Amino acid sequence: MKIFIAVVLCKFVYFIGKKVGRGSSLPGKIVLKLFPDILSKIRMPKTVIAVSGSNGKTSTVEMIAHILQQNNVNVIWNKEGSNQIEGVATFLLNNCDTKGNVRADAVLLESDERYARLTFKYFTPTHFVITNLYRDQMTRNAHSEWIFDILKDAVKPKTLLILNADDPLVSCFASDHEKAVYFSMDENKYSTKTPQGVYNDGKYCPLCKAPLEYEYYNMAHIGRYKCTRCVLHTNDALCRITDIDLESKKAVFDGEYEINLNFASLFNVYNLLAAFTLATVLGFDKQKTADALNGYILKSGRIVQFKINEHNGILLTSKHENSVSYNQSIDYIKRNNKNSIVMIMVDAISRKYYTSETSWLFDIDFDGLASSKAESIILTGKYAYDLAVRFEFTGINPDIITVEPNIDNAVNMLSSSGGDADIFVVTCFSDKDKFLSRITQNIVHNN
Amino acid sequence: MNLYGERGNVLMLKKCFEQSGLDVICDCKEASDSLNIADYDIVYIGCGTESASYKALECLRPYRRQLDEFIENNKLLIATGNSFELFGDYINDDKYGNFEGLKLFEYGVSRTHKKRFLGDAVFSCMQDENKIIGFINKCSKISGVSSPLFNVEMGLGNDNLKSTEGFTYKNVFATNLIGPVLVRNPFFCQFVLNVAYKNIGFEPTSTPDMSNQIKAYNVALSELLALQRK
Repeated sequence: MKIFIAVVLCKFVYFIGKKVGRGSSLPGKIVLKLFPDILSKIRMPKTVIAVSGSNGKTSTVEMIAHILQQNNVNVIWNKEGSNQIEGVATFLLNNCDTKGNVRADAVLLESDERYARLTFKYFTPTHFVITNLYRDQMTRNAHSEWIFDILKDAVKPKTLLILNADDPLVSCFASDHEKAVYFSMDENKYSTKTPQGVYNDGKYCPLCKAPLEYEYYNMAHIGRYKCTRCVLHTNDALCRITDIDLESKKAVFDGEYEINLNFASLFNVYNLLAAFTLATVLGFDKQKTADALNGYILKSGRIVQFKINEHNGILLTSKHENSVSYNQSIDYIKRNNKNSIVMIMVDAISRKYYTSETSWLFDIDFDGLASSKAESIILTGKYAYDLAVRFEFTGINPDIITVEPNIDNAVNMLSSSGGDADIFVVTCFSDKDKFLSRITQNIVHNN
Repeated sequence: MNLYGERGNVLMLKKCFEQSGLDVICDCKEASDSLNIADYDIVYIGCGTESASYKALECLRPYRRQLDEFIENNKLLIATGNSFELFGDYINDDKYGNFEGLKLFEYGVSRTHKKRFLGDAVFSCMQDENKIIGFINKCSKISGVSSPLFNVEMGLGNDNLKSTEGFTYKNVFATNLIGPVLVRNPFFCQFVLNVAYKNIGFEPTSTPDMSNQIKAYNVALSELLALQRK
């Protein structure tokens, strides 16, 4: 009876909520208030896949869903991105019959790192993909080790972990867990022998605090490592990226499966690899998985193409409070061979909470823009002067930097600039609509 | 001990000293490096994860006497984030166990891994009329601070209440605010610079350009004061 009431109530509140434009977590919130353990009453299908980590959750989930669908699996996933327990409750109850049976062959859940332990108190995922742990939203997440401890509580003995072998902290999830497989990216032409970025979170072993030795770095602290004292090292991977060429937008998986990349970034390739590995674990044919991922255009993509006068433009959605995300956007700009105008906007630091904290700007490797073909850099938004201060500590020629807190004026500067330089706009989900709403007519492709 | 962009503090001091006409040598010390603290005019230590802070504590322990002399000689020590917790009497941690602090000062620290104490902050400064802005991100409660650095106007103090924050003694300036505190607070930075100039007997030949810092500070301060009024 309890589950019947919960399902009906959830669907009813969801229906009303949709009519009045309310968010997707409210129905779950109400039901959880009445029945705190309702998630334990739901009969889950045989396959329950969770995806968590600092970055790439939404993209990885979407790609896994696509692979499953291509393999004729009836999969449901929280595509509205509500990844906290209330959102997960709404999503699951909405997909139940009145007896509490989930009407699908597989459930796929994007799970917030901090809330996974609450959600998985009531049911256990069969597979748990953990993409990475970076410095991310540290005004609420504290730091990566803190998040590791919280997320570890969500890992149950029966769950098979699918881990990023190249991330030392993520590898630690398997330190006392028997069921784990790994994915990894081989050394490639973008790998470096020295740490990348302006800080080094891979300096010391997360288990014993002895120095880590790296054979190479792929991005941030992600690479091939071993501890100088204890057993921690890059584990052998079930699936690997064996070759990659971002210029020609190609990546090779396991030495033979070539995939064309819709968005050429190492970040994206790691997400593809996570999805590829999960599919392999589920027993799907690798060629069929590669075909599914080949040139796949993310619906939740972070790229918007636009054209202003003779300028081709790209909005690179990054995450405020996440330096690795920004660094990937900067790397993308660096690989562009044409002169460019770069606009960076920090107006609201988060869409979920208020903070004026801008320390994270000092973790971003803005110096990378010095080796790009940027002929002009515009800093805009409420925190334009914080950006200006940060740029004072780079080697970038100050003459090419303009500080314009007013977003209207900054956008007008783009439209009034002559020539045909490419435009790159780097900002966050919280701010991107402030730009896009001002160039609606100019959008060419939004993916 | 560089968890939240703390390296910005060092960059800021270096820039300001250079613009004032000083030559600056800046050494970044690793856990395995040996130290002769008396060689330096300023020591800065930033924030770390809890586990990293215990590693730092063990690295600093052999230098306790040197640090004590450095402080008693009125040299400038700046500590931000959880680093100043290492200088106290003890740290009791509900995950990592109990540690003796460096026992340079009398306060004690309790750390919990069950809850994080977070939030934007506005403090008033006993040394300067301009307010201090920043962010607290810690898991500790600090007791027995006899000479705090700031009064809390918004946010969390040493005891996680709206009371007092940080610690000062002679030319030790310590706060749990994270990140590039000196970048975000140009007036407090100028105060610190003046202490340093006086310490080394230096008359600046020019004033550092902090115009962008001041504009950024004014934006954040007005935002935070508006938030405080709500």
